[in-house]
Amino acid sequence: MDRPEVINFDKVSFFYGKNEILRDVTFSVKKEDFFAIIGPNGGGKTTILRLMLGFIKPTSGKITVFGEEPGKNFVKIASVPQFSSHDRLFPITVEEVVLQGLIKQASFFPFYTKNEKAKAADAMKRLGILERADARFGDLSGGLKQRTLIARAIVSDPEILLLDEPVASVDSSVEKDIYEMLLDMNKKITIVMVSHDIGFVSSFVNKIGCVNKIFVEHSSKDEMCCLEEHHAYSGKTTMIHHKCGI
Amino acid sequence: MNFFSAVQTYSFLQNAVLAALFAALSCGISGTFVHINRITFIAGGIAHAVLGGVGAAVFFGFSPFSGAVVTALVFAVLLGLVRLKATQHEDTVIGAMWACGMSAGIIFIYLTPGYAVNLNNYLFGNILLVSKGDITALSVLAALVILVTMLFFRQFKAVSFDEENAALHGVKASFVYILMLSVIALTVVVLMKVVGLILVIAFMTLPAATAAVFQRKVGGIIVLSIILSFVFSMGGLFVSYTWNLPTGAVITLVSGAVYAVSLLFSKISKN
Repeated sequence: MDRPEVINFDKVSFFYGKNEILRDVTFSVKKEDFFAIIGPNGGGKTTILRLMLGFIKPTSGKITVFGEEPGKNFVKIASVPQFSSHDRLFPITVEEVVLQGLIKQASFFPFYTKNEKAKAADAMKRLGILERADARFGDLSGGLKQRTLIARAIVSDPEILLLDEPVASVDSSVEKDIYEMLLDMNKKITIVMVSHDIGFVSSFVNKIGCVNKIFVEHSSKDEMCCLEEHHAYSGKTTMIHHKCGI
Repeated sequence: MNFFSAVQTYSFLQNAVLAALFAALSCGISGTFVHINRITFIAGGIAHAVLGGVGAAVFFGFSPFSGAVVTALVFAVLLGLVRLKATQHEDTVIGAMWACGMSAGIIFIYLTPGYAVNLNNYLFGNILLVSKGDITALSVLAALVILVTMLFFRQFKAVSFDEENAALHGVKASFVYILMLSVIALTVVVLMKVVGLILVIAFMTLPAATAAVFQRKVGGIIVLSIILSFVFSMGGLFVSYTWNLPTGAVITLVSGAVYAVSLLFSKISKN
């Protein structure tokens, strides 16, 4: 069965001022893909996510998300930002952070409803942070913060989940947990994830794209095996460098 | 006559108590958002630039109060845009608006012919000179502050914590941010009457900062800082009445002292 296409990039270029960040990037993401975008720092990974979210517009080329311009699908798409730059002292509990995933454009009522709280509790339970609901977000460890932000993203039942370096600030055992959780979510949700590190990624995802201004997609199993094999004896970035020629 | 029987006797003191109540309600709310957004500098900028509007209003023959309201809102929008759009030198631009607004006010007041404006009343406020008419105006402003915050409480919190996530969910983040600054601007006008423009910063920071030591949620900080700023004002009023000292300055020092003690308290209790 052919899965429907949910995100499409067609010859997308992006300039930040005079700097060319992306050149002619073309790819598509299908429903229930687990798609990893890998590349060096400054290679344009986060830019791709921001384009998908509609925070920035491409300099040229066309992007569609569910057939529409990005930024119009805020019910269907959720994002977990690059590791928390949030104010550590901000007075907010874990539950409140998760509830913010349900905020709407207009909700002329200052409090959250029982139904919304039940949804938040369910999301916290799935991420194993329910017992921390009343803890101050800023006091949590990196791994728990990341779980909270993932819970905030999935609480609204999105169809696509975007993650920017979800494991950048956690230790490797937590990293594995988070990937396993994502793999489980992937049964229902399309996942696009940005990472500078190919470590665990290749065994979980079904599609890898390498980006360093230009974009090269590896969707066949052979290529991915090759990547992994290569990984065993060479540096990660070097490996990507060789394989994609970028 | 002691302070308490004086309050029962003199209507100017009764007005002062009411003014302090409206100030507490608005600055408990606005101060909390200033605190969690760390935008004391923006609040200070609005407060000082307001003098420009007061001066212009006096010069062109309008009421200083309406001049203050209009200027405060205009600067809230301008500073909001600077904050949202500027990629660099944000603090320089805010500092420039702060100083230039204030300077314009000084020149306008200087140029106003035959009008013996006491600049000190705007700079340092005088809670003891609040009239019945002022009370009505202050109550309307305080009601506006409360109403807008009730309606947009979720959005204010969300934009303060994570603007991008709010935007992703369809919240018009820039609009909400500027609306929040407008609420702060209206509060500045209320506080101008009570402590004066220079000391607005004290009311915008100290009660909320003190409350934040004891509360872990935004709503809790708002409620506690409303209570604290009313208590600080009453304490200051009492001290200034009893020892005949300038009210705004005394209120500020009382607030500062309590803040210092509560910080000390939290340090000790953590250890």
